[in-house]
Amino acid sequence: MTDRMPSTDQRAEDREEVGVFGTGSRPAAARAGAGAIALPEEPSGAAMDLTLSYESGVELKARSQWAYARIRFFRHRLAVASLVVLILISLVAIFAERVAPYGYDELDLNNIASPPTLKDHHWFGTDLLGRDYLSRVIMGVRTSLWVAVFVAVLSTLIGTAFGAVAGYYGGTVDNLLMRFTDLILTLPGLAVLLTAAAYLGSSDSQFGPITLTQPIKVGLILAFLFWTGLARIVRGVFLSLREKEFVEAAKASGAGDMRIIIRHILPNCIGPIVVTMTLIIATAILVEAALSFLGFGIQPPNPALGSLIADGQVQGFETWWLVTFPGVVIVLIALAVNFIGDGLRDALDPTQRIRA
Amino acid sequence: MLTFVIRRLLYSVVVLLAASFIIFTFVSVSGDPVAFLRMQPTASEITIQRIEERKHLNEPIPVQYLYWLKDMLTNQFGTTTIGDRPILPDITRVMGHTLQLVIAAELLAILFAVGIGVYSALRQYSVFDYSATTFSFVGLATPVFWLALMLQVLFVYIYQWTGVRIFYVANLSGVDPGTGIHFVLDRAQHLALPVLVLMVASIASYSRYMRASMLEVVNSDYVRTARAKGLPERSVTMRHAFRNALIPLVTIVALNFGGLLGGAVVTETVFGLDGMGLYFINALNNGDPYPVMAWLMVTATLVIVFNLVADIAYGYLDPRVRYD
Repeated sequence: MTDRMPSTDQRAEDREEVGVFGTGSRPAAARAGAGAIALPEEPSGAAMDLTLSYESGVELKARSQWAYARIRFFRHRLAVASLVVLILISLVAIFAERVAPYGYDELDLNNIASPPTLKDHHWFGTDLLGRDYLSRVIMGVRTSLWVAVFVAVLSTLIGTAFGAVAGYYGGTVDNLLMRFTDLILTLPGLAVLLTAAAYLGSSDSQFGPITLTQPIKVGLILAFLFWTGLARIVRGVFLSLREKEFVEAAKASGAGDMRIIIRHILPNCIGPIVVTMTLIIATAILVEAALSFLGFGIQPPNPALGSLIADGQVQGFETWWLVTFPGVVIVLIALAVNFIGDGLRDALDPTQRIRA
Repeated sequence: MLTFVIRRLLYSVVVLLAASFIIFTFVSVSGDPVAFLRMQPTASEITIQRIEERKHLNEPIPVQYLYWLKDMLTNQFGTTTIGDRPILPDITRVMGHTLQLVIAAELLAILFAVGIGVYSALRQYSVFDYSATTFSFVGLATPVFWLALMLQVLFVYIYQWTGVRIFYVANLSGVDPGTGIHFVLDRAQHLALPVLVLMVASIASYSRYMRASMLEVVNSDYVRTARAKGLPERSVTMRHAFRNALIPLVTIVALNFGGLLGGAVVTETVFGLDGMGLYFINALNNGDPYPVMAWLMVTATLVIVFNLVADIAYGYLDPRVRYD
């Protein structure tokens, strides 16, 4: 919904499976579309450690996969900086009520339509009703981030489950599940998003004891459309690994299907899963903002960054700060999340980096 | 090859039917197309009843859907619920506007993106490469609607300060667009900002693909062979590397283009352009299933066609690819 649906990458992957890309030349190209900033140098750190310790007679420190991943991640300076920024933003969002200088709907009638100023803490200015936009943005970040994380977690769960079951059992199950995935992937995403949002309505719903708040409903729609890419990735890993000896060994020692899926094969695709999940957060933030801006996403009185921008737009060009600041925050979050995803990709899945 | 195309088209028909039913249901349940009339004191009960009868609004939704399907196939998408206005002429008009916008934006974007991508790949890790990478990361993280709004604000302020109208910030034509060259200039001034907004998003993603595929090609064996043969560097990059590096971009552009023909919804909404996207949003806001469905069918068909074009073009350009 950022005018193009986020599925370009997924489509490319789709193609590979159909065999159209059968040249093996695709992965780097498709991946690099999203990735490949910062291009961390590959210092021969490991080799140096080895010689030094060998000469001085010190034993090599054993490191787990995770330790190596952590080292690789922290070498990625942009990713680490982004992580710090994102943690700060999240903390502000979590403690929104205490951090925000004003309430979400509080009117400061002495400062109506005030431009950004240090006075009275109106850093982001106020709108025509005298509402403090810094406070509104903070509350908006909380909703938007929360929805994005919700979407990422939910679609990761669905995608992983679908991919794992389809890839592990193969055959008819695989066929059925993947046809369904294809169907979702080929649905006109934009139309489904907007009409489904209109259908689910602008208020909370009650299903028995469960209350679905309106932001959660928006999250559900997004998650329903976002899980397909991951399902294909996970399925691919499962398809290739289920024939491996360690799976056979597990079977021979009496492990059940569930145990093999979860304990033996799943840990092998944790890398792509984490990376995809991160990237979904960024996409979800952007798509949700666009939806809310168009008036189909998160509805007032729930605050959201997209609807804050729409609010600002309605109030005219004179109050430019109302449009500017929520947008800057969206860019900041999306950028940080993308950088983190990039760093994670390098850390968890070193083989996926483009050859330099 | 032919079986591949036929199979894909058959599958697409199934998808189209499924999608149209889902979306018809959503729109019909969520909106009441005659809600507007019900609130009008001047609209009589009989008028509303007639409309409800004509559009079968009191039937169950699957039946309504079948009526719509019949209307679409035999009656050129049918008419709007209120006003009984034929839909096809409207769709044709807005499609024309969207085409102007999208073709201009995509052509320019491809031009820039190819240049940026190739140059970054040839000068990997240079300042230019890093700047281009940063640009595309920021471009991909920027919400399209926000960029559009910021440009609007910027140009409104420029106009207020200097009194010079460089670009218009809304609508498709001036009050009196004139004819001939004046009309073209007026249209260009109106389309410039929307085109710019669409371009930024496209350049950001295309240039990444272009860079990656160029890098891959430059490091491939046949390029090394070409160098080893003693070909001049210019001929190696332009004739051997560049042309092959373009192939993956064809797919991406075709897919994207198909999607954009459904209207750059957000861009058109912000700039108030009378294109496909705005048409869709307005129809959705009115809760009128017929125009929404017409939009959907046109858009989805275009996406399907362009996906197919992308695949066929890929097979044509890269003979290693086989369809089975």
